[in-house]
Amino acid sequence: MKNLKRYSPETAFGGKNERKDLTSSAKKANDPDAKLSAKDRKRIQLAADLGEAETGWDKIKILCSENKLAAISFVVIVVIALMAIFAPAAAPYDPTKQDLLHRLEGMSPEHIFGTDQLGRDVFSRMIYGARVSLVIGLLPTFLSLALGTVLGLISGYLGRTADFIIMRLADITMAFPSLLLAMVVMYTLGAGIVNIFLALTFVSWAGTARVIRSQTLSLREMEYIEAARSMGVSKWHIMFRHILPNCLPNLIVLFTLNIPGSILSESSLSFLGIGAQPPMTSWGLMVSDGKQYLFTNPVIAIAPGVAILILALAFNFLGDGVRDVMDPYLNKQ
Amino acid sequence: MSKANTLEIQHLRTVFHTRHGDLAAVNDVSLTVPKGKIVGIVGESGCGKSMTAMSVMQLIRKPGEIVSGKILFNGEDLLTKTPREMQAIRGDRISMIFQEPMTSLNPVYTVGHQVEEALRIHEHLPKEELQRRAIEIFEAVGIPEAKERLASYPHQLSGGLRQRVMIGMAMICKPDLLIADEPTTALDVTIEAQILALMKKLRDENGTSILLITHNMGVVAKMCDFVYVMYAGRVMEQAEVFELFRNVQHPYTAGLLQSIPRIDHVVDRLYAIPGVVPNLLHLPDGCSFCTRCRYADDRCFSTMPELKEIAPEHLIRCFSTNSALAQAAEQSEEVQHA
Repeated sequence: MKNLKRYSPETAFGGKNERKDLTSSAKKANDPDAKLSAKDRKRIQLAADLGEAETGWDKIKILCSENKLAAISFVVIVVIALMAIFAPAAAPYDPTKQDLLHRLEGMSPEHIFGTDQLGRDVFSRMIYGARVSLVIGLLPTFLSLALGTVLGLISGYLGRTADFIIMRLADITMAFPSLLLAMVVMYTLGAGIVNIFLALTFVSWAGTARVIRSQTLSLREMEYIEAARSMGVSKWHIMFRHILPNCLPNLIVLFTLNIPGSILSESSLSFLGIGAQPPMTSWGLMVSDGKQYLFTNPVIAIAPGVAILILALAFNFLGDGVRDVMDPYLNKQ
Repeated sequence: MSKANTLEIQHLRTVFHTRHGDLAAVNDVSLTVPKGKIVGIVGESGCGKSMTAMSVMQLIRKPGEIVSGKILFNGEDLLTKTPREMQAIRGDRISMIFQEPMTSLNPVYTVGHQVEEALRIHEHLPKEELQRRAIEIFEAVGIPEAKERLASYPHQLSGGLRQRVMIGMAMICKPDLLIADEPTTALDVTIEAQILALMKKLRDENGTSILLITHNMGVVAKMCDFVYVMYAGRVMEQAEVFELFRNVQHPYTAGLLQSIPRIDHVVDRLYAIPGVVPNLLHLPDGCSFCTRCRYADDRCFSTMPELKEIAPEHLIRCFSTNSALAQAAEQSEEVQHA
């Protein structure tokens, strides 16, 4: 019945969306630039709200209410990270303590995700495994980003021979399927956690290098770079102090979007037995161990698998959210 | 060479090697900037004004290259300097202001940081001293609330303020030579007048020589002591500023002056020099202006005239002079009418 009260000419002829626009932002409805899509308008409104926000905390609150998925993802990541950091306190059991009398038990109040083939508590092992997954997610991403950024800057700014060599190397790296290349590196270097870092860094620097190179190419033509050169600033100083800060929004987005790839690669490598080595554990390794018991006790493989899925998805959603925030539309404000 | 000249360019030739052949952006240009004077370079877009300036700074990028000539700065040839020596000169002894105040400042740093940058590079000073000098220069270029403004980002400032910041950046090391590449083109006229007055004031205070690049004859008349008119990479006419405006002798300069809209003349259509600047790859055999010159004859199409002195310190690159040509044209018209 309430709807009747709201009856007005606008609502009678306009669609539902139109009414929403009119009520949500009256001044936008009078905007002469009617070509703007609803999405763009929403962004402009968001930008205005952000401009009015006084503290950084207010901005975060606005952004979280705008993109709830990203906010939830952020919370999920923080919870997993806290559990990983305080694993000895968070884990109910010692992850390496074997209890052969209670092998392959299903879910129970004592063992939330049951026990594995050696009677170890799966939930505790997952908490410790999160350490590997998170470190693998963050560190190689960071390393490959750093390497790709330096090479991309050199390639884009110095150009010519340096550009040719670096970009052809990038082409070669990208021509291989990344997992295959990572496997080749792992077989050459041998299994182990440090080598995973190197392998994942080696396979994923090229994408970053390309993005940063193209960004550098456009930035080096900017007048302020020319002005810096005319002030006697050295080329390395220009690359790292003038161009790099202008690439930062891209780097932050690349960082969040590359993390899930790293996590999945580590899981794949561990699943194939050339990643984390026992007694150290990672989620990928747990899925690998659990697959033999898929018919007797599926939960010990499924639980870490779902954990990988959740963590990767959370980073993906967070990355999307960050990308929206870094959108030039919002930065203009 | 006398020490009285801050900058003396001799027969400079800057070439861009392109796929279609070499393109001389600056062709046999000689010019002199006496100490404490303002020297203007005027010409249409693409005539080599900016390339002359970039050659002096040695900021020509590949595929461009300075192939011959000398650039004497305080008596020393800059072309014999190593890149490292040049880097020490840029921003310290010679500095530059650019056209677009909107894009000439790095958006991610405060203007204070950017103004201090030249000092940080060339004079190693403690932090407090840097800030003191920055405030000093901000006050000198007329930025109100200098101290607060240091913490502003470029997007928080207006175009005029940004150009003041640019001038501050260029002047902070008290250079001997300031190259201003169309410093007021992007500004509106009231701000333009302020910025020009500021540049003159800084010149008077510090004795800085200024090489002013512009396409605005009004700015030339107001600012310059001596003027070079460039066309297609060459100097077409050079003269002391009063001499030039009183006694225009090159048809190109005459055309430029005629193109200025006059508020006291009612015309249907504004005058423009017919045609466009020729492609530097396909310059005519003779005088580069012959295709657009209303007086051009056979000789103009076959041979390039040399610069010749027609009055003290007044040189033109033309076989005749504009007044003689105009007179001849008038006479022939009269003959036709009769």
